[in-house]
Amino acid sequence: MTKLFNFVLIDDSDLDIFINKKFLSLSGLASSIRSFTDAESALSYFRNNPKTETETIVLLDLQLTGMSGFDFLDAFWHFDEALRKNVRLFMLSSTGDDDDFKQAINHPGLEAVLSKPLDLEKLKSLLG
Amino acid sequence: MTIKPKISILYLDDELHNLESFKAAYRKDYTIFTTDDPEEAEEILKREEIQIVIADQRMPQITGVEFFEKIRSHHSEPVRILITGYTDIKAAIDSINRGEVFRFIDKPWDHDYVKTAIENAYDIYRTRKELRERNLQLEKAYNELDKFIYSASHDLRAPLMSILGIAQLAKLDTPFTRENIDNYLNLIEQSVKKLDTFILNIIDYYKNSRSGTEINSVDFKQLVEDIKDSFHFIPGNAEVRYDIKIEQEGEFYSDPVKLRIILNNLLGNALKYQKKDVSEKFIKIDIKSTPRKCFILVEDNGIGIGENDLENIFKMFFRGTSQNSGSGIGLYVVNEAVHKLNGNIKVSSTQNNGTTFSIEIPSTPKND
Repeated sequence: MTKLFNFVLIDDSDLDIFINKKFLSLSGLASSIRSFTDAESALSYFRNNPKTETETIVLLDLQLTGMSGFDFLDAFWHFDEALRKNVRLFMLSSTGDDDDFKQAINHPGLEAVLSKPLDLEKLKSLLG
Repeated sequence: MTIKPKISILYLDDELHNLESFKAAYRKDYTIFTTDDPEEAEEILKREEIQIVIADQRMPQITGVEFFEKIRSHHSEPVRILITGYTDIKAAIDSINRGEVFRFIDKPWDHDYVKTAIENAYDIYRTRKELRERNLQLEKAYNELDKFIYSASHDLRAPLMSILGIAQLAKLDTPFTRENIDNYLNLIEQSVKKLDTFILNIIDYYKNSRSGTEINSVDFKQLVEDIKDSFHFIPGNAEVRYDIKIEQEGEFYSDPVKLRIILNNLLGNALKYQKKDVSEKFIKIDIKSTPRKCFILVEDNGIGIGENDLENIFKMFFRGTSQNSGSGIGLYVVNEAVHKLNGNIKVSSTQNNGTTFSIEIPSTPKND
């Protein structure tokens, strides 16, 4: 029996949210999938929802309207530890720019950087 | 015939009769400020737009060269001319070699010689100024290009990666059913259209930034009709009521390509950013044109623009916080096009209530 996760997608493209939801539901990794089209509402979701026993995996896009993916990381990093517990952050972006990847990898809150389209095998190995 | 701008000259000399005779000799040709006080001279430099500074070398408080050294850091633009009464040739040569002084004039001065010196100095002033302006323009263009490449490459890649994702999903999502395949093909279509819109925007940008404008008679009715027709297949178009009023009085000359870009973007936005669950969706187009000017108003009752976004909408690659975000190029191109036609554009908007753009463009006289 594989381990299940709660997924949170943050992406301003409805199309990409649809695609990634589909990927995750086909992967057999997800016990729930939630999505937000902007970073602000994702932050308020995390602020208002206590941690769960199941690990939450955040797949965060870099280029968002309003707050960027990096802004989200900074804000989330300043949350109380209790809120951050059991939440693992991954970047999922279509950027082709190495500098964006470097900046993302150096962020202490981020576990790994993935490029679009979502590679399920890679995600599975990262989640362990 | 072009009117030459009057050259402004500041002349500092401790001998008042020199100041007086200089003024008497040149006041017809130039705007002249004179003083025997170095401090007042600095005040004048701060206050007035001076192009040429002339100073006497031998003054009791300060030498001319010392004065130039002092003002150089804050007032580098005026061209400096030194006047030497005695044979201070060494000081003069020194200062010229150090770049403090453009030229020196020895007393007693020769009227035509001084005039030539002033004209030459002004040429230098103008050339430097033009060079600075060109540099600023280049810097702006360079920064824009840099930003453009960064953002454009991302915007071109994002829909492609979506398509790649869809293709991989379609392979994973077995068994293949007609319905599944149709769904995936529809998604690919969506993504390709988004990419195409972006590329069309870039073409507009390119067309608009070419310096040449082609002036022709504009038929606003036809222009609006053509644009409206091109929206025929855009989803949601049928639900929008168009309220079109065009009053064209006589011929209006402008660049029809730029006008099309402006209207196409504004009407496209008005259509794209409608509220989803409203029964009375409308786009109002009000155009009044006379042989001298045209006024264009485009109003909608769509989602509107947030107060914080309003000041940024004309910036390149700025995207509003709305969900259905665009390329970030459309309104930038609109603004550039309006300014290239010597017009101005205003926007007012209330979030959730609608947006109004109003534009005023003067008719461009046709070159014979």
